[in-house]
Amino acid sequence: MQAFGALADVQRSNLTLNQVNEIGVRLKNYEDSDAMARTWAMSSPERVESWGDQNVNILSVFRIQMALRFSMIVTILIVAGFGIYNILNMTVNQKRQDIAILRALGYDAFDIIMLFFSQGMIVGVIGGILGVICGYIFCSYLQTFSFMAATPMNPQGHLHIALTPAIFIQAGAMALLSAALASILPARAASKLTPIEIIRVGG
Amino acid sequence: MGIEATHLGIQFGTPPTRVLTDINLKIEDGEFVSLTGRSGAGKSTLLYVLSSLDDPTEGSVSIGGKNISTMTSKELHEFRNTKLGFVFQFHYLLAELTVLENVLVPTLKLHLEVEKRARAENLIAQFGLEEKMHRHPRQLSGGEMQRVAIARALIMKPKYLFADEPTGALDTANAESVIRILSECNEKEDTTVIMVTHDPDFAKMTKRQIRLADGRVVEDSSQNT
Repeated sequence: MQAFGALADVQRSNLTLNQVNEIGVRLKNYEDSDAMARTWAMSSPERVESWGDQNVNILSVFRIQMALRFSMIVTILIVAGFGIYNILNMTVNQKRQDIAILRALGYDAFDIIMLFFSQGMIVGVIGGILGVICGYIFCSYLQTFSFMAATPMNPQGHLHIALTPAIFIQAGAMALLSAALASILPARAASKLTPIEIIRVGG
Repeated sequence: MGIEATHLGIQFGTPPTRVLTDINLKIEDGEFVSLTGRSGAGKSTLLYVLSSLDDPTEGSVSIGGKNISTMTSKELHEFRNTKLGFVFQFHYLLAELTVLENVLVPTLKLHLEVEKRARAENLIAQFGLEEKMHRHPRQLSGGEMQRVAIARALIMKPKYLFADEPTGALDTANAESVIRILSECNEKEDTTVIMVTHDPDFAKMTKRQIRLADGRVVEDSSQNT
């Protein structure tokens, strides 16, 4: 609960007449607050704290939340990467004869690597684009729900979700990186198959 | 220039089993050669070594004057793509592609698919598959698939065509048709054809017969005349 009153009335009720017990300063860039607080502390006998020092517990919760989110993203990307890796591995095994004939027709190891790597990247690009679109739609929908008590800043109690382009670009780039890492091993395995070992045993 | 094998030998496995021993062979450009012999005589292995698909453990092979063991991987693969054609007992067509696309597969490496399309269509028509050009391999008979495989082998106008039992999985009529196509390709396109066969009748249709036994050349018709 918040209460607002005239400064003189509040000082009177707190028995701190004509006393200033705190000055709040709003900076243009909140990230400068630590450096600014250190500078002012050196030139003042008063206690000077940045907002970060004052809210260290809340910030540590945010940091834990960020770490958990990052761990979840990495886990999801590893699972997705293993999906692509398994699909490509199976494809390489199923296509041994095709790889053999391509090698016999003059396709070298690099051609075969590019063939399977590009297949993995196509999966990564399509998955990344679909993921970004679905993520945007889901987050936009999530924003319409009331999850918390109403406040003057958030009268409907909606969950605040950052929908900045940088987050989506980051997510898409990580999906591509995951697809690239997952594709390279099966692609290399395919490139090492020689035509003779497959043709001699009849596939 | 042709193909020349010098003191060629190969052994496989542990303990090593000798498959070819001291093969010395010269095949001139434009020849149509059959490699014959019993099962296990080493004829397919000789074909694979002569065609650069396998490496000899002894001796050397030169094709068109180039020693294939001294080529870099890039040179060897480009050489294989442009100068050599392969037909195997099994057709090895790519199931997802149509007849025309399968024939054009070798051209994709050097991005010649547009330039070679007319030749691909001509070869397909020449082999009696004009109406099946846009069908997939599963819609073709065994003989038709083998003809597509031959068209694929010929699309880059190779100087040398290697065929490993190309009639092995076909009935007599289709087998004769395949041999006729190989013979025409030798005569009309001046392609040197080296074919492995266990069928003496098909071997007789070639200009030169080389017989192998226990990994050695035991008879060469060119040296009997």
